[in-house]
Amino acid sequence: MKSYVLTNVLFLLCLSSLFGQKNEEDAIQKLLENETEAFTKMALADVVKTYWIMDEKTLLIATMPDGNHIQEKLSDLLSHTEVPPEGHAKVQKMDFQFSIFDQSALASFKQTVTTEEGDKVNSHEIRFLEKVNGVWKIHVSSVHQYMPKGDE
Amino acid sequence: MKKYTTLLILFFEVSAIFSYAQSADELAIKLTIEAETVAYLGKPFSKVLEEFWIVDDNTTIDASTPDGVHLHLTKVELLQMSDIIPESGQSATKKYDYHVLIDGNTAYVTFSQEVNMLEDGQKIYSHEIRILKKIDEKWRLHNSSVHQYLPRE
Repeated sequence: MKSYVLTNVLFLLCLSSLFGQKNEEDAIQKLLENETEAFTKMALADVVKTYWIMDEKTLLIATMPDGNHIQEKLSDLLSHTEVPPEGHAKVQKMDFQFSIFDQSALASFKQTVTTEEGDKVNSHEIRFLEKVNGVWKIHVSSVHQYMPKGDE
Repeated sequence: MKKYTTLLILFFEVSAIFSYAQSADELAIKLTIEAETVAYLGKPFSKVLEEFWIVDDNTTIDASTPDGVHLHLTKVELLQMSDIIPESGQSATKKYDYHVLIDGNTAYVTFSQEVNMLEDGQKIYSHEIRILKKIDEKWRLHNSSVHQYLPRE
């Protein structure tokens, strides 16, 4: 009887841990979707102020298919104050993978941006996030844009 | 008064131990990253994976080069990679501008890298990211993101 109770407690603990993990994944995915949505209609500086941790480790690294490359620290990110035309791009994220730890998380996913003109920009993306006062925020972003091969 | 002095000393000792542990981990992480690069230049790739990496369904290497080539490698591709050893001893690698974030047994690292090809003087610059995990007291790489670039004039 005692072992039956213990097994049940263990099962419930596992279930609650899995549920907790799923909740965190959902919260992170929602944040990433919201940040991208904001990026399509707000100045980057405002997006960063809303969704990012702002300190000396804040970093955005991106490489484009033409070899162009940017590495932007906090001061660079906050210098982008121009507001893009709303609705100029539609963004789809897929194949999310999460590694969630105590107060930090790694998320990787694929992204396709479709512009108003119909052009598509594909990328493999990585984010480091940290939880600040119970809210997930982005700390580092890595963007590898690429031209899809035949099978992608 | 004596009680407060003891508490204060205890507080400083705990802080010192904590910051020592943090810096010891930072050092161990940097040494692991540097050793993996050296191994990559001198050992079969399967050995590099075995010694330095966690290879599972979340393992990834992303690399983009200035000519527009992009690689996205997962466990399957990594385990199929050739064991040809890159010609070692013909380049010098410098890593700098490290930023290390440690959360328990996980670390997020960003740094810049400059590889100097000694034969022709060509330089390869990159901004790099690594995610590592500590398993049985040893830091191991789990994800790598490499952005090679041409420096602006």
